[in-house]
Amino acid sequence: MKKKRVIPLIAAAMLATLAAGCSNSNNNGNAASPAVSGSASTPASASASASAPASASSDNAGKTLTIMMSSGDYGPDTLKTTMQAAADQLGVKIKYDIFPDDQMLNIVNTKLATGNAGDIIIHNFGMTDVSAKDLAPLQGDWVDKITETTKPLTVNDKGEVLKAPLGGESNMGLLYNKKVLQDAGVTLPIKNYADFVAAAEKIKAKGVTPVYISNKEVWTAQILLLTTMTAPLVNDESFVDNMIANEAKPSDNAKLVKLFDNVLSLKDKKLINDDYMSATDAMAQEALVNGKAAFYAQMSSTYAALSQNYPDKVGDIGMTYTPLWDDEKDGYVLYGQSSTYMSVSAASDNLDLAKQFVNTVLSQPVLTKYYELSPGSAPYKDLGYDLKMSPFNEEMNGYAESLPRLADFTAQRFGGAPKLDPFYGRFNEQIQGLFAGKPVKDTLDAWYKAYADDAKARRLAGF
Amino acid sequence: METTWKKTSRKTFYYLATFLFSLVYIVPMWMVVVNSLKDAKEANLFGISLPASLKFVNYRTVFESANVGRAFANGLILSVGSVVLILVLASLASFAIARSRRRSLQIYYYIFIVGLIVPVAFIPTYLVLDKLYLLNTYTGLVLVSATFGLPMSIFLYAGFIRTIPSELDEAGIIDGCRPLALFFRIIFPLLKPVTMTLLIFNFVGSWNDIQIPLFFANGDKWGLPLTVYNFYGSYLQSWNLIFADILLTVFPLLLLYILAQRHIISGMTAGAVKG
Amino acid sequence: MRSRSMSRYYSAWFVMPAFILFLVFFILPNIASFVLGFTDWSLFYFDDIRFNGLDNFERLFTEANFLTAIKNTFYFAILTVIVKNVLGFLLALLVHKPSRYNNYLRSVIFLPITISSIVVAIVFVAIYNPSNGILNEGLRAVGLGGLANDWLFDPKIAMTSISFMEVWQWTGFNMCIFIAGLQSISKEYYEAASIDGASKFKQTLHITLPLLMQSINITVIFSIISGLKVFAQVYGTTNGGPADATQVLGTFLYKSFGQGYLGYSSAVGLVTTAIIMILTLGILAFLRKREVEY
Repeated sequence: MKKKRVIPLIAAAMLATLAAGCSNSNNNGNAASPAVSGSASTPASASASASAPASASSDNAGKTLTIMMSSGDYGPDTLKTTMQAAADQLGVKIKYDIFPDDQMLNIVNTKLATGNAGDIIIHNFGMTDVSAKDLAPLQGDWVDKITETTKPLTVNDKGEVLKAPLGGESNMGLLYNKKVLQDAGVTLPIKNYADFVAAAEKIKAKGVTPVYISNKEVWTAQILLLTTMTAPLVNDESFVDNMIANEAKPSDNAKLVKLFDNVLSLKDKKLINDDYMSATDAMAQEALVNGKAAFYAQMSSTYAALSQNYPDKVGDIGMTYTPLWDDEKDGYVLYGQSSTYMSVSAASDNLDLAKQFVNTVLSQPVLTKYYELSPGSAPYKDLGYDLKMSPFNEEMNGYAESLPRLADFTAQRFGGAPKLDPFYGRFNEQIQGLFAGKPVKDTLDAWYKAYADDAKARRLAGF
Repeated sequence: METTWKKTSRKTFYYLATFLFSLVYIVPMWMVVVNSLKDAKEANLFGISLPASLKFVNYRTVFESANVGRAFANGLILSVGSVVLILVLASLASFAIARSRRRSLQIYYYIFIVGLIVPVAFIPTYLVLDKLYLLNTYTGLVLVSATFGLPMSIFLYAGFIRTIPSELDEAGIIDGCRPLALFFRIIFPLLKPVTMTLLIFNFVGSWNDIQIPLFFANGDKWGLPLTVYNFYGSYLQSWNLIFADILLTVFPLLLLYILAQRHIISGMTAGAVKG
Repeated sequence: MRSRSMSRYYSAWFVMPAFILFLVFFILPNIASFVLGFTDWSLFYFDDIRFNGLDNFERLFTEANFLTAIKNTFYFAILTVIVKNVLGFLLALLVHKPSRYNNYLRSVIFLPITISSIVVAIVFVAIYNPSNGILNEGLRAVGLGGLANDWLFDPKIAMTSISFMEVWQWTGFNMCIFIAGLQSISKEYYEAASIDGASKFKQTLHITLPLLMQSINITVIFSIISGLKVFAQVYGTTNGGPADATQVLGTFLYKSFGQGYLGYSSAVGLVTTAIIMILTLGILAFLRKREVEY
């Protein structure tokens, strides 16, 4: 009977695969950055960093730390290589819990709240809602060296540091293709919206897409506004105070409305790519380096991905601010907070070891290595040594000599405090909706409703 | 009367049309297989052409970096555990429900059926597991997974048992069988078609499920489908690795399906229709 | 003759193990969820829960996305129920006779069911890719490039594309149930009808369909329930996008839960469940009336 032979067959097949799998799983503790030979990448192999000075004590050997990370952060090799370097230096093993990007925050918070999280959490600045009371305060000489821009994001209300910044402080602005601009006769800097549109038309006449929008992914299109709306708010502080007391809505601010109109007009004037609805960040990078698009709103930390994927073309790309304001006086260069942070779960079983690990990552050898792979403006001052900055940061620093440096609206200090911090209101989704066809007023109202709901859940006064 | 020519052309048309139709199913799978062996740049083009060179190393990369062996073991433990639990508990419960005349037992039946429609409440379940110290344990996962399979299983078992004549029960009782023995020795073997059906469905459902392991356990207990998220982030997508991982994920079930295919389909249909 | 002692053979004790499991891990959480729907529980105040009456429901019914979600869910459910069952029925007619070729067809059509829905979704993201996906490339190759579309991110056709993916994966299930039903219809009916001179079509209409009613009921009910509960199919492809155009009840619930609004999402779950229950029971009642036994 065929059936009788089937079952032992299945069992045998499964056992065989199981046996093969088991022998591999023992190695995984150390194989945090395996030889990724299947894809074109520049491997900064872990073996090179293992020769770093061993500050490991013998009782650490054999312990394993669990790092929770989102799949988006896990993709590029930068973090994995850095973590492995720190692990080697400290003499411990590490393993990862990877979560899909959009679930990361929710799952991590739930696990933290019930004391079930791993040891270390790596999160990026888009996930600042990680629950504060379940993180352990961190100590180290780096604590006092955190820059002013990043500091607000890292501390709790007692001033203890809960999130150790790792990634460079991102500038946000427009990446541009130098050759395309040169070819169309466009010179930088562009100072205001009218000039920008004129330049865009020149570029369009040459058959190149002036501005690339990747609306499929929520985090890019919002940059056009994040980099332009802080100034009107800074210049009108009473408006901000009214906003947080729920006495004014965003759509009440004429300058804000005009900014949104300007941004949307790029689409109406057909100055963007046709496939913006399904375009992704990867496609945008490709169009930019290959001269098919002129401008693309992004963060300076994209330099790492660009130099990994397009090493021979990354030199053609520069970065400038986003001149979509009507009045030059509303101009600024956006300096963001650090892009990536490390936290330690307060309920971790390896609390001291985890804290030591964080300090190791932030030590000179490992930190230098990280910035080799992902150059940027380090969130630390007076380190006593230099960390590699990318050409993007340097160019933006140049522009910042004549324009104010501001942060995005959630991080910017108004009257000394980041008052709009709880008011993000899923801004990225609102802008995605804007480009998908929602009118400006509806978009602003949707943003209002989103942050009002949040404020209600946070029990803020006035909501 | 049809001429032979008409019959042949009819047949040819039939074979051609149905074969083209089956391509709708085969081409996507072919695409996955073929792209899993390309390098990243080529794979991102999603073509159906053969690879420029066969990169079997993709599988090794996936196997190691996604810890496939462990995920496989997890899937096995979870699926086998929950299936065994479901089959025993559901069949026993359905037996009493189907045979008993008492009202109270019928109420239980409806309570279980409601479970077919009502969705899962994740966070309260998470808290329950936490209080019982069952979070991130195989036991907890198996219990939760079994719970969610109960409604459908009881529905099918109860329906099927009703078609088994109760004379068999009476014969057993006269022979002096104790209640549990009556059930396991006489009734349960007769439930084979439904048991096979439920075995397959609950096994496959548990194996492919992502929400239960994601919420109630940490990475070291996840099954194969979740390994895809090692490669499918918002930023960088190496489709060759994604596809290789997909094949590794699908392979065990595929094997099971190919080997036991006839029994799957026949068992499934028998149980479903009688229910 | 049933004596009192019979009851120990069909005792409630047999039901207890299953019921206790169900109680602890399903009933209790759902009751908690029901209560939570009337609170403002969120991740911001995880340990401090306050009742807020009907606020959550008020917020739900003024949420534009909720209406979109209902619309999309219904569209998906209705479309997939119809196509899965009609197609499944036709396929069953085609391949129910045992033969090696039919075996091949049946296997191929049923195969996708063994794949995790989220994996199918990811594969279809690749297939539907507007520039490189095999669908558009295939259309261009046969000269139908004009039909090439942005299948998943054009709001007008996105839900239809997702529905097609569901049909692709699950039609085999309905087909199999129909095959079983077909195989249980006695050949004598057909022979008698042939003798009476009825055409194949008429035979199908008057013999096959009525006798298959029970199977059809089962598949329709299951298709409706799973259609209304749709989640992984949308989550894995568009995740409700672009800009919430393809939200369905499942993803809408998940999204509000993912934002940390635990009380609110419990309320959403409540309303979703109510909608599904009312619809399902209604259709069940309707179908029961039309069952036929010969």
